[in-house]
Amino acid sequence: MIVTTAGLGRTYGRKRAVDDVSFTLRPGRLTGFLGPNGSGKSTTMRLMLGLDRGDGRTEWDGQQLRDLPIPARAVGAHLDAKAFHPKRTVRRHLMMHAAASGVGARRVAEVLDLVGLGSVADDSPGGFSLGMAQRVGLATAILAEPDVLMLDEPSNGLDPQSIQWLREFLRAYAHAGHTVFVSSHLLPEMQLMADHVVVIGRGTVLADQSVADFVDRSASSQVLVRVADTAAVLSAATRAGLAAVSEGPDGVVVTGASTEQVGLLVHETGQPVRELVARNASLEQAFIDLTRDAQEYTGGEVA
Amino acid sequence: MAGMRRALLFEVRRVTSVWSTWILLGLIFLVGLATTLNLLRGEVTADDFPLGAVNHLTAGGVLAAAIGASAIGAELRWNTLRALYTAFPRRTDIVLAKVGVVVALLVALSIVCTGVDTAVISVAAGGTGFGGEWLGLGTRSALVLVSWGVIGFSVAALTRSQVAGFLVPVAVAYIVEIGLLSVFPSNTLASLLPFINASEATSVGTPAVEAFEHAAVFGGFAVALLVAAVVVLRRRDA
Repeated sequence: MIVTTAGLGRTYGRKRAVDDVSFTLRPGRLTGFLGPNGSGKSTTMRLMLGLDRGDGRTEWDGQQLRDLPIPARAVGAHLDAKAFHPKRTVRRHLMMHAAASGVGARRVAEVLDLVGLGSVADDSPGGFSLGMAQRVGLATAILAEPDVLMLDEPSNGLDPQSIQWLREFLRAYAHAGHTVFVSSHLLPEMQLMADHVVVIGRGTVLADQSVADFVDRSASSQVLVRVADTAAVLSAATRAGLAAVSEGPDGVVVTGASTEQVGLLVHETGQPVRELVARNASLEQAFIDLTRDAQEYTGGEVA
Repeated sequence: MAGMRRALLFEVRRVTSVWSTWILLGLIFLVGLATTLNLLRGEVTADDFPLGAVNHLTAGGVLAAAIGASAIGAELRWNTLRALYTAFPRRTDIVLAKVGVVVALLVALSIVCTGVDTAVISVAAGGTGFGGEWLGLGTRSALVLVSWGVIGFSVAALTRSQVAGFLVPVAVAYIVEIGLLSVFPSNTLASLLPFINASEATSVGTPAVEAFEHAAVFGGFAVALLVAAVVVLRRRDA
């Protein structure tokens, strides 16, 4: 299912929390939704689902969510970590949600085992840890095996093994042809998981591209080349409009260019290349570079 | 229509899967039964039969408001409203399903309570005495009980608070209205106050036609609040 958002917007008092947010989510792809705190990620997700009132529209294969015959089979969402009655057993919680999509007790049992809650299925979740609560939320979201899965910070509170399990599960879910949209602050985790990212800052979309392209475009993406005559390479880079600095006796670091571009640059100077290394920025670094000016809340400098 | 059916099934499973629902329903039943048994300590005659139709209202209205309030208030309290509206983007379906299940539960309970109370009195009075007024009074008591539930639901929805859904109707019924009438004693004012009308509707001494008019005023008040609640729930952020 293709999900298209167009012109999403929301104002709280005088603050424009989300402004003209438009992007497309495609099946078979896990899209990460990144942004600093207060950038409008959760509001955007709520606007997409029609939970909050605002501007713009979201279409699910060209239709409004409320016009789909069984909305719970189109989208499963997990937006709040502890969204359950503390005294209702996990199984009964899922059976209740099963009524919304028409799935039966067998699927409930299957999902309980899938998320690792089989042994506590008949317990009340009131005393569950955050990680266990996240599993209940995930179980609720995937119950009807929806075409689209939307998760807001699903990794919060999970231990490393659970995070790894979640990553593998979500990747498999996306690559089985579903549309997966996940917000997270765990950027290294997102780099391992996502195929595509939508980055939002101060309520507007800053980037909407593949993870590889997003990382490559970062100012922190550099290429190191080692040659005998560094001055010739520095001049060639300047002529090509690239930022380059020398590093050590025989190194030149070129910013914002691919290894292929730098290789051609050195070829023009007519000297052999001793070493050519791409120093790709991480998703985290690329994110920090991009959102540096879009931080809503920033801490002081650490002494 | 299919959406409404799924919403009703969802709500039935929600309501029946927590103990608090059964505790509240049980309390309404037990309070009514206790009142009846207390009545039997005196001399019971055929004149007491109508009382069997309303004994469960002794504290039942207040508890019915709590049942109504929990239908929507629990969703707000436990952060489940967003998951609910995601599954049921047509909010009217799920809101009406919630009200429908509250109404059905209270009507069923009202029938059981009235039946049991009346059976107990019937045995104590020698097995005779079902007058025509019994059915009318039983019907009005069911209407009043259901209206209390709807008012509890609506107030909880409007105030976004389960506790307010229970406390506000109680405060209006037992403090505000009584206080108003003691300061401004007037039949006209009394005829406009919802909970005074509820009381008149289920009073054994009120003539049937007049009593149904009182029940209609109380029910109308509940419906008006419900309409406001539905409008607000449809438009408000989850």
